[in-house]
Amino acid sequence: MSHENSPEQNNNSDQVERQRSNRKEHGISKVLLSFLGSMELAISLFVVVGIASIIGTILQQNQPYNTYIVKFGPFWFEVFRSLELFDIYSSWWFVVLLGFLLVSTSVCIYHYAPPMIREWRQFRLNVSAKSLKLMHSSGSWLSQNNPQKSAQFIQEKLANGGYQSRLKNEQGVITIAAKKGSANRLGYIFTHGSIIVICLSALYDGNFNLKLREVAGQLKPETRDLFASEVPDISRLKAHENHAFRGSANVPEGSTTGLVFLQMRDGFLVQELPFTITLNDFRIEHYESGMPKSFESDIVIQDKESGEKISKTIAVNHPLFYKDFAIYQASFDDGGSIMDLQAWSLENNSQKIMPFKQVVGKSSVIPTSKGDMKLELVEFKASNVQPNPKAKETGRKFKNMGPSLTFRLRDSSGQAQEFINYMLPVEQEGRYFFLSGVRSSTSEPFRYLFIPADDVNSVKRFFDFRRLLNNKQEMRRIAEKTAELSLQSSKALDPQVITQMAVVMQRLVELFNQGGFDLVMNDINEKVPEDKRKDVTDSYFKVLQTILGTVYLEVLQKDGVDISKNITPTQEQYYDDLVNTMGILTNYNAPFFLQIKSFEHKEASGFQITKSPGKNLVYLGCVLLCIGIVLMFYVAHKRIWIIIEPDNKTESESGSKILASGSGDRHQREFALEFQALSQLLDKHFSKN
Amino acid sequence: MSMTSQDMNNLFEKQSFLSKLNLFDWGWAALLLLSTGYVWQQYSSLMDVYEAGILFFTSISIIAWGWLWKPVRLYSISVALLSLFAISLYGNDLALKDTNFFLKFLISGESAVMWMSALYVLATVAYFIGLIIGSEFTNKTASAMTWSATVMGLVGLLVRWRESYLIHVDVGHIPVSNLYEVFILFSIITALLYLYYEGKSKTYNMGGFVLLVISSAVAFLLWYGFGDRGASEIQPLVPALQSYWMKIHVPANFVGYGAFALSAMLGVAYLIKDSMIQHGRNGAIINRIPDLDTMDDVMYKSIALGFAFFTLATILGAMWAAEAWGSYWSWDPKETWALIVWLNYAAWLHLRLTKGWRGRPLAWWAIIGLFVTLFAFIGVNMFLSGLHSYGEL
Ligand code: HEM
Repeated sequence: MSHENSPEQNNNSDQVERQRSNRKEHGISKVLLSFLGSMELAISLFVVVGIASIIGTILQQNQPYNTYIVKFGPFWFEVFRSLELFDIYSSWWFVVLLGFLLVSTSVCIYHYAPPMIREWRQFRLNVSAKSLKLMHSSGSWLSQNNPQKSAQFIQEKLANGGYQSRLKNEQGVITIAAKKGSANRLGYIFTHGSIIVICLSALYDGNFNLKLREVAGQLKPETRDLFASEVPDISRLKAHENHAFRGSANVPEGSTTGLVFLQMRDGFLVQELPFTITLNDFRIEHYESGMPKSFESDIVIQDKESGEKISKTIAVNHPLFYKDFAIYQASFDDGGSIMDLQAWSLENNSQKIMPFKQVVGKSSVIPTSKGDMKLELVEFKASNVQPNPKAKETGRKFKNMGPSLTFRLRDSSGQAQEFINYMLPVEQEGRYFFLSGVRSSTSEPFRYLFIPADDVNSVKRFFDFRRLLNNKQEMRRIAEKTAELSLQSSKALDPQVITQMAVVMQRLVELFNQGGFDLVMNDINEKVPEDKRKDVTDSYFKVLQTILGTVYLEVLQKDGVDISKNITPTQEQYYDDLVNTMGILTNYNAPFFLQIKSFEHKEASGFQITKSPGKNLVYLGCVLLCIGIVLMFYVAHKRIWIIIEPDNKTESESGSKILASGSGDRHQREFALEFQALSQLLDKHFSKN
Repeated sequence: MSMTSQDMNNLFEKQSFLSKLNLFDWGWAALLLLSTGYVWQQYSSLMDVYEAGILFFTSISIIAWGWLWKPVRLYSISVALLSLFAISLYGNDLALKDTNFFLKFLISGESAVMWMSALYVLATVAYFIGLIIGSEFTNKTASAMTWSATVMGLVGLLVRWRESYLIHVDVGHIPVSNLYEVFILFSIITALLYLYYEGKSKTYNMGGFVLLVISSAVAFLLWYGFGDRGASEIQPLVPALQSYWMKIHVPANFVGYGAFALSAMLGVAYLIKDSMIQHGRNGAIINRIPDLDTMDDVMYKSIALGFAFFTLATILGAMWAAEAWGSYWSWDPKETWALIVWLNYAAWLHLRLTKGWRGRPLAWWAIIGLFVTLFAFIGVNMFLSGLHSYGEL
């Protein structure tokens, strides 16, 4: 179990080394200092800081507050917020904890360093034979030589072993004090001193000053979604107002900015820069798999005062350092690509919507039968590379699905559905389809709608077909025509039967239009007794197929296809796909299909701009820390003492008695071996006492 | 870690380090210098100042390493020969991986890792058998298997490095970029640390315990790399990882992880032996496990080594972050967990040094420390999201 005093320490005449300085401290300050410098406090701080840090990694930090409210409910949200758990690492209490660690380490140095420095400079010649004999490693020998000669010999040997030594001659008794590895002591000072250097410089680089000003009411983070120019002065920082910061800026191609945003909890501050950044060009390269391989920006920095200009290309891992600032390539984004869109209505009482242009990141209002809907363009991707399912046959591992647009449709109550539409048709078993994915929350996968592409690679024929089905007048005409044609063969040209059939046809088409084949089936199941169902179903579907076929032919004819000849297999296949897609449209549940007609791609580069004057000090601290640790672990502080007394009992009558002893402080094991080596050496030259 | 008395014997006689070197040592140095010279002569036109510096620094470091720890010489030579053989078999055709006999079954990146895995598991079993029956021969076999596995592991990584370039020059990168690759690294570093200790202390009986953690790593590796995830496939690097820093930051980290793992396994052995003794069971097997003080001492040395490397790695990581993300410390989960691991071992070291703790409590703590370390190492990638998004599970 834990031994308060290890055996090493007990017998260790070196014990002074571990003792604190015996500075005169009185009363409260003494109690306070000994508390602050205590190992118990230090270890508790290690543990508490550790646990606080763990919380910060489990609870995602600095998310929009809404996310937290949804996750924890309003009550816990409020509790967590008041504990500053959403931004732990810059919370008051966390900084105070680190402060304590800092103070504790400082006090610790204050206590231990002075005796250590003394220790490392002193040879400690004042030892008594008695204390030497108490040490772990000791031995005594007799020599024929006189003390001086023995001492000289031993000092030489000690020097070989890397020991520095001092010698004292007191009334013929020679004491040699030798030591090596004093740098170990320096290691302690470096290691602990470096912690102070690192913490202080990092604190200087942090946003502590902003928090203080916030408390003083001089600053207030902006939480609204405003343009930088609209942000009031209380959330703004002038170019030279802030000695250290870390902010971000998204700059679209061809644009210039002179400010960055500093995030603070759920809000932000606008920090003005003493220079402007212009993004001339942004380039991105991709691997075959579509993953970004590299991205870089050609930027121009212009000093606001001197007008001096610097052009440079920055890339990930290759920042630009300008004065005290560093500008990093952090990310990329859409810089407001302009989309040329066409909405094809999917509603039964369809209205035609004119083509329109909309910028990615912006929203617009689109009238539908269920009221106005907000169309928000979320993300545009110029390419979508995916693993190729036919990698084996084609020899290409990936295929590009082309541009895609992600958007949301929000109704008046705020409910939104998310869509992803691809601009180009995608091949499936030799046919081409326009894909549109839909989902009602971002945690779900997309469900896809496949709209077949017609002869001219467009969705037009599909929607023409739909529009015709929705046109009551036209449908009556077509239904009557079809009924007449199909009854012709049965030779019973009763006009009433024809009308009846036409009515059935129209109704079936209507059902089909509202809910596909499923709805037709449901209708039959509801209305027809079970024993007749099969017959009715067969004949209804036949009728439905006939009329849909006729409608299709009319659509083809309007498109200028000569339908007097047989239609081609492709056209037939198109019809099948068309009818299938129509049948599942209800699941798509959207008022329109948004077609991407063309686009103008604009990219934006995400920069991280920092000013961290403490950085070099942090690095200095790091170097000290490394050196300190190596010294502490791998340089062993060892001492050897030798006391040589004249000995008249030897044959030569001028011999000497040698007492040797030593200690290896924290490295007793190695020292024991080392002392053994010394003993063996002394054995060779002297006789054992 | 621990010196033997032989090393010390001549400490107090005047003798320089160099004069202690024998003919083999000089031969070793000459071999390395010659190969370095050859590489320089062939490729110097393609190198910039840094790369030339790295080449010579590496070469000198390996010479010194081989002088200080002799088995390194045979180890490096085997690794070099096997890797060069594999690379020369490949030429410029990656497809040979599936057709060439040697590559397919022995030394393609993947096959070598398979051999490594098999050998480590066998060695674990052999060490335990050795411990139980007390057979010197079995122990030596186990040790030889561990060495071979470690050779194959490093060959696997080096060949994989080459393979990544054969896929495409743009894809080429040092294989320390995803969990599959770093698990290989972890296994071989832990094994090397153990082998060093084994060689110095001449006891084989800790082998089983240490190799247990390596075998677990291997199990993870096989599941992760060759299961559905196919993580053993070489993937190109995202831009943030394309940096020189990665080459030093990651290996330094893994020396830390390896050393912490070693100390934890010693902790396990310590606790087993200690409680056996307390229960008065004093069989031959228990006696074969090294004595408690020795294990305690090695546990400390191992944590100290780990702490030193871990500190260095964290600092390198901070410098890299400063270059890639614009901030040397951004409280990203991976960084934060590195701090937690670091504080944990700092507390451990302080308790031992200033409070004089020894034995059981510290052994337990070292074991818990391994779990903390493991979380920092894989847990963060599995459960937390952040900037270190490589190698997600
Ligand atoms: C984050 C803060 C700290 C770090 C990283 C740190 C690190 C270290 C390290 C690495 C060692 C060497 C252990 C060894 O040689 O095995 C050490 C020793 C020591 N530390 Fe700390 N330490 C910290 C804070 C403190 C504090 C607050 C105190 C005072 C209560 C303290 C007192 C000591 C003492 C007395 C030693 C032993 C020195 C010796 O005997 O040579 N440390 N520390």
